[in-house]
Amino acid sequence: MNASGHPQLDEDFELYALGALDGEERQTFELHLRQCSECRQRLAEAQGRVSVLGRSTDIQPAPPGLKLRLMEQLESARLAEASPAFRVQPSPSGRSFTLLRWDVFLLAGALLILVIIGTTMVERLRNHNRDLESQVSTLQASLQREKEVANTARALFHVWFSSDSIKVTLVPGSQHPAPEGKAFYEPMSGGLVFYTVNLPTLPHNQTYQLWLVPNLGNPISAGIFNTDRQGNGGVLLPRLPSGVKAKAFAVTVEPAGGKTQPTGPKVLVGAVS
Amino acid sequence: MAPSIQIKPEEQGADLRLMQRIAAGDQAALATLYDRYSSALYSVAKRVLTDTGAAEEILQDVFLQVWRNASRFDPQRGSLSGWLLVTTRNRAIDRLRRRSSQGLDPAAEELVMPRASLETSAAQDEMMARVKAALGALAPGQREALEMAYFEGLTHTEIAERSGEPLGTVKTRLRTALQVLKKALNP
Repeated sequence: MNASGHPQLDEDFELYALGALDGEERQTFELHLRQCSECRQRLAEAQGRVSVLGRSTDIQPAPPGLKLRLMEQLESARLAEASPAFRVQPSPSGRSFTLLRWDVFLLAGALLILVIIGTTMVERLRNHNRDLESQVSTLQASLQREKEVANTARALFHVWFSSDSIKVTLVPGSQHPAPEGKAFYEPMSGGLVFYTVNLPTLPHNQTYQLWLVPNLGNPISAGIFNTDRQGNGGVLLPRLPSGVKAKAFAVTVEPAGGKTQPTGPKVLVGAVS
Repeated sequence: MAPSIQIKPEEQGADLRLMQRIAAGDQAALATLYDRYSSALYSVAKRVLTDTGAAEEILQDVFLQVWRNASRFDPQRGSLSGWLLVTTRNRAIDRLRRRSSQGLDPAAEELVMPRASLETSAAQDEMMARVKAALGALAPGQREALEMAYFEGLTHTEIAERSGEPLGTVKTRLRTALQVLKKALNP
């Protein structure tokens, strides 16, 4: 600094703008700056020069969600400031007693408004809370039902398809058990479950193939399967087009891998009643 | 190579109109201002902090400050773009160094708006090219000292400690680098 206390060189201002000045040097500068409009002007110019360093940085786009968060924050701030109760100004010292009482009166009014607004908001929040609790309760009940259905299905599948399950066909008297199949079909979704009992095991180069016979058109393959030593087998949820009306189901014996249309002998046939 | 930050001078008149609308509570105007400057400011904050989350917070703070103080904006006192850049950099440095106020004391920050001497977009392009060339031509020690001061907010003494150079050498390097920068700005 020169005799009048002004920093002399442009770099002095730039160094301050950078924040490079240490302790006492910096305090001296700031003390002078508060009193000297000419130096504040020079500092403004120095800041402009120094800020060019920031502009030389490689540009990176701001993250996409940031703008939305900022606008939400603004909206919250706007709502908080919407109430006049939040705009109470501190009383400057030296005011007359009358003005002070007037301020107190204004403050009391503002507080009253705040209480009214607060009460209304609390009531609204309570109502909103009750609605949310009700929705949560409904969802929890629905989830519980879904869990029960899923548990039942899991248990059913386990019993039905486990290799440890013993499958027994009951027939009248001493009659020999005959091959039999059951198909459960839901046309709208195309869902199909099929199981069979007492079908003899085929050699490796052959397979059973289940067919859906529609009201119109050629049979549609509903999957291939083989049977275990007890003659049990089946098809679970094969890929079928939805909305196909079935007039019958049939099982044929086909070469291993199956065929696009039935070629072998029919071993089971069932018409849709 | 990524493009450098460009704040076009012809947008300064538009800035004033936007600030008037923001002062009147127009959120769409702030959104427009955000679109105009967010990338430039984010780039500086990210360069200083090297942390995405922290840089985002700085950017939010700066725009909230614009929202709250838009009515006090006086274009006679300097450019908005310069003020945004300085404020963002200073806040990022504060955050980096975990301190409550940086370089400029708060009272001075109220009074000082950085001035831009840019008249046309072409002039700005030309000037930035000169600045980059000048910074590139600095001796490594000078450039490092300048970058430590600007992007890390280090003082002379701290730069000397960090670089292991004598304090006098650091002061000379910084002054020389600043003289080079000034020449590039005013050839």
